[in-house]
Amino acid sequence: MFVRWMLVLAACLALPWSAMAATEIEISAPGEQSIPLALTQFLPAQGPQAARVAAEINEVLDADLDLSGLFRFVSPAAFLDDAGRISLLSNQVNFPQWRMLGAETLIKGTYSVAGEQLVVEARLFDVVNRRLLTGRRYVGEVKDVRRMAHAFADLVLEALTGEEGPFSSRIAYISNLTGHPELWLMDVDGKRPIRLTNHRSIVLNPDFSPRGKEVLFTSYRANNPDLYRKEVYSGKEARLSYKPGLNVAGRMAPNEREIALTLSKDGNPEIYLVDISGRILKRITDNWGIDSDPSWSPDGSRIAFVSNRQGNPHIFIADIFTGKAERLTTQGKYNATPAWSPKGDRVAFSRQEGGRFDIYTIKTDGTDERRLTFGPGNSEHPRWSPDGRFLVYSLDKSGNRAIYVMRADGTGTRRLTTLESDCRHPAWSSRW
Amino acid sequence: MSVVPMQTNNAFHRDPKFGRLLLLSLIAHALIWAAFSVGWFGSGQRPKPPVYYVDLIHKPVLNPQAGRPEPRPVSKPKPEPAKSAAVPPSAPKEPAKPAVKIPPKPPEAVIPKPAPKPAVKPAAKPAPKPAAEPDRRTEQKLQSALDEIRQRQDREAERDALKDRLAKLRDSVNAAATVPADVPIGMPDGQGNEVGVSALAFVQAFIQQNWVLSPYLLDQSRIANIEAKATLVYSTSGKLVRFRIDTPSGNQQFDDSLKRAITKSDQLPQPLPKDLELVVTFNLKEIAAARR
Amino acid sequence: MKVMQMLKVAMVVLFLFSGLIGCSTTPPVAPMDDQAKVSQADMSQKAEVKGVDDSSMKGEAVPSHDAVAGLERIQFDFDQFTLSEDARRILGENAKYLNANGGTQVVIEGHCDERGSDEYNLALGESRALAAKNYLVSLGIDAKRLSVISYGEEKPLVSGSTEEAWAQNRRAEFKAVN
Repeated sequence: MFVRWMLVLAACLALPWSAMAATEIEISAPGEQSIPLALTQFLPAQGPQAARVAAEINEVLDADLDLSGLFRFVSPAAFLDDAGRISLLSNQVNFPQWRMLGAETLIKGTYSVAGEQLVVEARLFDVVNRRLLTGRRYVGEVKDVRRMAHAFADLVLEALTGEEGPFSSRIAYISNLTGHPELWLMDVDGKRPIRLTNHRSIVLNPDFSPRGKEVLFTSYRANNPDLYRKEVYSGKEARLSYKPGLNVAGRMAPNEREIALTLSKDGNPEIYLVDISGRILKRITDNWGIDSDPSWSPDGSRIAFVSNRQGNPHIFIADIFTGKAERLTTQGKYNATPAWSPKGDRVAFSRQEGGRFDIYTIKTDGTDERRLTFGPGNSEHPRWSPDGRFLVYSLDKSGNRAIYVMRADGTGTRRLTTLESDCRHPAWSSRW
Repeated sequence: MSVVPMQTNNAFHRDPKFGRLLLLSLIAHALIWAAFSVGWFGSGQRPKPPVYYVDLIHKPVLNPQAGRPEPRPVSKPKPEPAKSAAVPPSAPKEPAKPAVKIPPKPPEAVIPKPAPKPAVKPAAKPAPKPAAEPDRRTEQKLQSALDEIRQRQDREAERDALKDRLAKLRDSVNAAATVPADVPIGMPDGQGNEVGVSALAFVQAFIQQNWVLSPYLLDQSRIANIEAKATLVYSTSGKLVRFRIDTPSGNQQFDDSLKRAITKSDQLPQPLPKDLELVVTFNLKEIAAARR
Repeated sequence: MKVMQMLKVAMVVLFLFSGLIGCSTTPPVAPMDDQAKVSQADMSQKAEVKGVDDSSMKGEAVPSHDAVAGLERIQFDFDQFTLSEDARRILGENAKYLNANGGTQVVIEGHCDERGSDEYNLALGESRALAAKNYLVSLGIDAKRLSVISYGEEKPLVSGSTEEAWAQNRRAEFKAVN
C-alpha cells in the first residue's frame, strides 16, 4: 500500500515535468515470479539417433527443474526452427526467436552415441543478454544418461542461483517390497531403486554420514535393535553399537567422529554420544522421560531431539557441551522427528493433531512456526535436501506409505516411490 | 598545376586499352550486383522500420485527466488524493497500478443501467378456462370481462414501469451530479484534460511486466530488505537511450534480473510525450508483505 | 596509368572484401566467453552402488519366540508407559507363575499402536517393556531372568485402524527364551 502511495506521490511531483529532471518511481514486485525457460529436445550430434537417450535427458531435466520452482516452461508446441538446429554457440543461437516466445533462459544440447559410449553436450543460455550462462560436456556410458541430466540440472541451478542443486544426491529409505523392511537407495526422482540390505529382519531409520557415502541404520538382525553402518559402494557392513536395549536413531555429527544415538542400557531411553566404533563418549540427556531422535545442528554444537519430559512429546534443543536443553515447540500435543536444516536456521518436524501428522518448520529460536502440509493422510519423517531447498517425507494417503518430496515452503509436492510396497524413513544424502 | 590533369585526361582517352577497361568495369559492376543479390553483404532481410500502434486508451500523456471526463460545474471537485503529502484516508485505495490496466470507462458507464424491466404482465395469469363448459354465452361474456381486466392491468403495469424508469433516470442524474469518490475514471494522479494514462505509470507498469524474478533465487531472509536503484533515460520515441545501475543490491541474481528487465524494456510500445529520465527503485516489498 | 592502377587495386580490395564476408559465416568460432564457460565432466563410474540380490547373502530369519503359556500380556494407554491397575494385577499373576517355574527365562516385548512416530514409538515400547520388568523385579523376580526388547509399532498384534485394534496393539508380551 505504502508503495503505491509513493508512486502516486512520485507521479504528482512529476507533473510539472521540467525538462529531463529525473523522476523517481518504485517497483516493489517483479511482474513474473518464475523464469520462462525453453527446454529443447537434445539432438543427435554424431552417430545414430537414440530417441530413448534424448527422452531420458529431457524427462530428468523437466522434472528436476520443475521441482526447483524457479521456472515456467515455455510450451514446446510454440518452438520455432531454432529448436531443431544444432547450435550450441552463443553466436549461432537465434536469440530473437526465443525472445519472441517469451523465453528468458534456454537449454540446448546434443548427444552422441557410439556403442555403449555416450557424450552429452548441454548448454544454458541467457536469451535476453544473448550469452552462454553455463555449459558442460558429459562423457560416460549410455546407462549414465540420467546421472548426466541430473548433474546438468544441478549446474543450471548453480548458474542461476549461485548454489548448486541437489539432484545428483540420493535418498535412502525403508521398503518392505521383499516382505521384510530393508534398506533401499534411489535417485532424488525416485528412479533406479537399489536394495542395500538383506537382513530379513526389521531394518529402520537410515541416516547418511555428512560427507561420505555411508549409511547408519538400525536392524533387528541379531534380535536386538542394534546400530549398523554400511558403506554404499563397497557394500561393507558393520554392527556399530549393540548394547542391551535400544541402539536406535544414530546420527553422525558433522565432524564425522561422533554419533548421537538413543540407548536404553540404563533403563530409560536417553541420548548419548559414541565414537565411530560405538564406545560411549558422553551422555547428553538425563531425566525420567523418553529422549530420542537427535538431529545435529550444521555446526555440530547442538542437537534437536524429542522428549516427553514435560508430559507430551515435544522438540527440545540441547547444547552438546553443557547438556542444557530448552524446549523448542510450544504448540500441539505431539511433536516428533526433528530435522535441523542444512542452513541451520530452521527445524522441520511432524506434529500429530486431530489424529493425523503434518509437517511443520520452526525457527531455532522457537518463532515463525509454519505448517507445510495439510493432509489428507499422515505426513511424517521430514528430512532436508543437502541445499535446504526441499524436504523429503513419507505420506500414507494412498494406502501404503510412500516417499514424497516438496519444496521447503510446502509447494511442489510429488510422489517418488511406487505404491506396491510400504516405503518410509527417507534420508537425503549430501551431494553425491 | 592545372596542366597536369589535362594531360592525363588526354592520355586516358587515347588509351588503346579503353575498351578492355570498360569491359572490366562492367564485370566489376556485375560482380557487385551479383554479390548483393546472392547475399554476400549480410542477410538480405533488412530490419523493418518500427511500426507504432498508437493505442489511444493506453496512450501515455503528461496531464492525464482526473476523475470524470466532463465534470459538472455543480458537482464538487473530487478530492485530490495525493496532492499533499498527508494522504486523505478516504481516497481510493488502489491508485496507480490498476488504472494502467483498466481503460477509463466511457461516460455511459457512469449512468446506472436501468434495472431489468419490471414484469409488464401480471404475475399470475388469470385462470385459463373454466373446467366445465356450461354455456357458450356465459363463457363469451366471461372471456370479454377477463380481457378487459387484463387490458387494464397491462395499462397500469405500463404506467408503473414508466414511472419507475423516470425515477431511475432522475436518480441517475442526481447520482451524476454528486460524483462518488471512487469512480475509476481518468488517472487518480491526473489533473489535466488529456485522454490517456500517466506516462510515468505507463512506463512503470511496462518495466514491471518485463521484470522476472523467482523468489526461490534469493535467500528467503533477504526478501524483506533487498533493493537496487537504476537510472533509465527514454527518448520521446520510447527508446531506451541509456541506463545504469546506480546502487546495486549486492545480490548477483537480483541485479542480473534487473539488467534483463531493463534490456527487455529497451523499446516502449508507445511513444512518450516528452523525454524521460527515471530513477527506478527495485525491491520486493510486495512479496514480503504477502508472506507476512 | 595511375587511374588504371588505382582501379586494379580497387578490384583486388573488392574481391578480398567480398571473400571475407562470404567466408566469415561458415566456420563457427566459439566466442571466448562460451569457451571459458564450458567444461567437461567424466561421468563414468569407478564403482557401482552395491545392491543385493536375493541369493547373495544369507539372511537369518528372525528368531521368533513363543509366548509363555502362563504369562498374560498387559495393555497400555495411548502414549503412556505407566502401569494401570489392571496391568499391575496381571503382572502380579505373572510373578506368581514365574516364582512357580523357577527355570523360565523371559523376554518382555514392548509394542505400540500405529499412531505416533516410528522413532518415538521404539523408545516408548522400550519404556513399556522396562516398566513391566521393573514391576516384576519389585515383586521379587530375579532381574537376570528378564530381558526386554522394543518393537515399536513394527509388530502389531492385530491390523486395522480402529480404537479397538490400537488398544490391543499397545501392549507388553512375555515370551520364552530358550
